[in-house]
Amino acid sequence: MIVPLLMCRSIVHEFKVYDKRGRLVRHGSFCSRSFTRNFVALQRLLLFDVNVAMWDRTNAKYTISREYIDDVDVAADEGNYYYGIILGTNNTQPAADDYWVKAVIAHSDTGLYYYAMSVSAELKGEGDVRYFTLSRTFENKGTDTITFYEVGLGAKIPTGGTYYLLARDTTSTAKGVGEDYVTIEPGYSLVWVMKPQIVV
Amino acid sequence: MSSHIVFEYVIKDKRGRVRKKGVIKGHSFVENYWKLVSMVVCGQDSTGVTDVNGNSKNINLIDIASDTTEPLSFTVIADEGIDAYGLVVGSGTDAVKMTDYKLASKISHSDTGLYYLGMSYSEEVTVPDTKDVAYFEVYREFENRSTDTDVVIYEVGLIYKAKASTGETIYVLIAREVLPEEEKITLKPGELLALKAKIQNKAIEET
Repeated sequence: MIVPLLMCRSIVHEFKVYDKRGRLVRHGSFCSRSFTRNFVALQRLLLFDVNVAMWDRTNAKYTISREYIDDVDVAADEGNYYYGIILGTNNTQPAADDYWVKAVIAHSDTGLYYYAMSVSAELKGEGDVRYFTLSRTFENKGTDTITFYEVGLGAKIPTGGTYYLLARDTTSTAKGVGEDYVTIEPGYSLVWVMKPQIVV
Repeated sequence: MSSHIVFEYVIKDKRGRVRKKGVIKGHSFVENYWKLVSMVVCGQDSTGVTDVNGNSKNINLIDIASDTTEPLSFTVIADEGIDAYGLVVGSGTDAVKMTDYKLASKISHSDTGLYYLGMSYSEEVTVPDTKDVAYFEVYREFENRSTDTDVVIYEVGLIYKAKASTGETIYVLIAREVLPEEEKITLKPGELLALKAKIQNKAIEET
């Protein structure tokens, strides 16, 4: 059972790994350490009409105007690892100026397979907690175990450099794992859920 | 990492000398704000909010994107004398709830009482060298123009001016914080309150 992180005022990460038969073999959860400056810039764009600076996945700086606020997209399609929830192998601790997942594991038909994102803007939670939900399923279609240390949330905005990092975390603070990484054995699948959350 | 809003203030006397400084601790975003954020991140067309009158209203994201008219329809930056939106203060002491949609008891703008000056904002999102936080700020000053009455403040809030999908202008509370009795802000006649709201993501490990 995943323990709810009721005091987490950030992204609650939850993950589950299933074997070939669909049986749950490991799971974990942790509170994010990193929304990035790009995420703060989006909030600024929402609250008043001034252009904001955002940094794309190559660390190039672009000016984003408010007309693009309705074009933010995290719902990446199957096979697209340029945005949505992205996995990587770097374990450097997150920083506010992170601009991309540092060592992305690419989508592959014979390795880590990225399924389509699922997003729901509907707020859930009760009492002092509210969150919305983003999730993605991955499958190891290769013959070797895949080990990852980092997870990011990328957004597609059709201006400037197109792909912008909103959050990046390492798995080192995950509870219930026992290691500072997560593994997916051949034929196994992973469901990763992000719950951006506020608490009063 | 913690995503929240922090209110900071400075009280200056009639001569401009700083009499008191403080930080209003709390986390204070309310449900309305997260509905707006989830709409943006998830690319939804619209979201339902509760306005300061307690009415359910719908806001369209495309209207925010195309908001190029003057004065702006979607903003928290209020002009002088406007207390309907922007940074606002009140005298209510009710505890903050996620579903709050108004201040418990807002103190209105007055030429002979609490005078609301115009708002301003920081030019950029700031990331200090420590790289553990990213933030931007909005500012407002309030002046007690009464000659003989203190203004006592127990609550602060941030209200978003928006346009409902029906076309009407609405006001939506997005953050509220309440000060305990021992930390209430007392503004004497002639004194100035400089209030700052810092919207930030800060690296704080929480479980």
